[in-house]
Amino acid sequence: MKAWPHPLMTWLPGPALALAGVAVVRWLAPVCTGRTQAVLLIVGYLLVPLGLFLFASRLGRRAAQRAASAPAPDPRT
Amino acid sequence: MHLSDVANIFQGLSSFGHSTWLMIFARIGLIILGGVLVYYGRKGVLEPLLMIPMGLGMAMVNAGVLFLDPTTAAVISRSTGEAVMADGTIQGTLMLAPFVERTDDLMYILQIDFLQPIYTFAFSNGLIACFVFMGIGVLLDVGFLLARPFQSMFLAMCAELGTVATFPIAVALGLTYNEAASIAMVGGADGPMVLFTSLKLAKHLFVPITVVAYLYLGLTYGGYPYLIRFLIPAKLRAIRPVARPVVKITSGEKLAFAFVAGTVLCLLFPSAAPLLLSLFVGVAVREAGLHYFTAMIENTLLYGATFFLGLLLGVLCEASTIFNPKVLVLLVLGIIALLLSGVGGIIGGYILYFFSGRKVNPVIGIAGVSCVPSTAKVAQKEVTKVAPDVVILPEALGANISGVITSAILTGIFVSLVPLMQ
Repeated sequence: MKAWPHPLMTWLPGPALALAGVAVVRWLAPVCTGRTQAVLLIVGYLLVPLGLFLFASRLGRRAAQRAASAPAPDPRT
Repeated sequence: MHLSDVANIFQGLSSFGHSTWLMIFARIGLIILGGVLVYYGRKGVLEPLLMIPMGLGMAMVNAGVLFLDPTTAAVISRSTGEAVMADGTIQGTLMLAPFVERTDDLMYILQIDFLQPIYTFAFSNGLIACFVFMGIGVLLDVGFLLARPFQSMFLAMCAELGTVATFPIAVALGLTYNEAASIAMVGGADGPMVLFTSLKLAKHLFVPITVVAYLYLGLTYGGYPYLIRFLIPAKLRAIRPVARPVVKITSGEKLAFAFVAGTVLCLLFPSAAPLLLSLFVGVAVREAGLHYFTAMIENTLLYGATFFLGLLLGVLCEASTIFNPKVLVLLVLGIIALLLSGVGGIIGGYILYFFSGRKVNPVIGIAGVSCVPSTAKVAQKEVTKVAPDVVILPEALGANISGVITSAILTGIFVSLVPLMQ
């Protein structure tokens, strides 16, 4: 399995994406109007679960990587 | 001795006679329904932890209607708009007055109705829903979700079909946006969230909506197996999941997920923050290894809150409180929401089945409906019936736990956005 370039790549991208979604919904969208506001709201509300999904999947892959690299149990024991 | 004198000795009978025929039949019907809930709760067909106190409360509140003294009658009348009788009395109970809100009236009622303190300080502000949610949080192992994030989240989103689709149907049937969102949450199959949403958005209807929700949630255990058998042939129900190496998620990773997900969702949906905090603090307490807190929340808090939730829901089913012209519509919409959510989950299961090269058991889809852990148990039970050695429970629990989080997100969306639609 391919190794991660840096441990931060597990922890940062998901929360960052989710926080970007929060920023879009709560800061950017309120200052816009009409169709732009609607599009920004939809994008923001999609980014948050996407970020959480990314975070969850990276944690899952980290655990899978750990399981794959764990030494095989000694058949004599 | 005249017959009316006998009735006056037994005030419950006398107050029955002073009601309209409709109200008399409604009370008798609710007493019988209370008995039915206790019976099926005892048999294990319905959730006994909730249904036995609820059934007993429902029967006894409708039996215990009496004439309240003129001072109390004036307080009740001021809050509900109900007219007092010629002698200054009014029909009511000594258990609960749900619609009293003025502070001085509330202080008066708090000294009379024995369940009023719990209702006022724990139920009407959503605290009891949050206690139940803390308990659910302590029971959740988010490791099942983190081991299969895509599958779990995809199924959970599909299983929200009922919540999403019931909203426009309810609006088309004449409900306001707030009422429609409250009843649509039944599709999320999560009692505390229905209670929380209806308290926030449609307080005037929260009693019938919550009662409908809890009655139907009790039925998922009995009804969803038929839906699974109807929509998924036995051959597909027996599919064995592909064996994968066991992925062990550490408690630190689970705690990190609870922290990030909880904080981000609170930033996005501050209106639903109490519910989100309750859920994720439960997860955090469990994963941080705080055993004393875990035991306290899991045993004392969860069971205490569930008992009083059931009892208060039963007591709130007094005929004059629950009978609202919209109840019939709510009953229909509630069943539509749960049915669509179940179908949506199974559709999600089928999509995964086809895209995985027919390796995923589609029954897992029903577990996306977030009635933790009932739907996951139902899924496993139905699979065991056709293939006793096939275990899908870990995958089903992943979808189930993801369903709770998805329902919390939808609660946040409804509570935050629906008021803006007015």
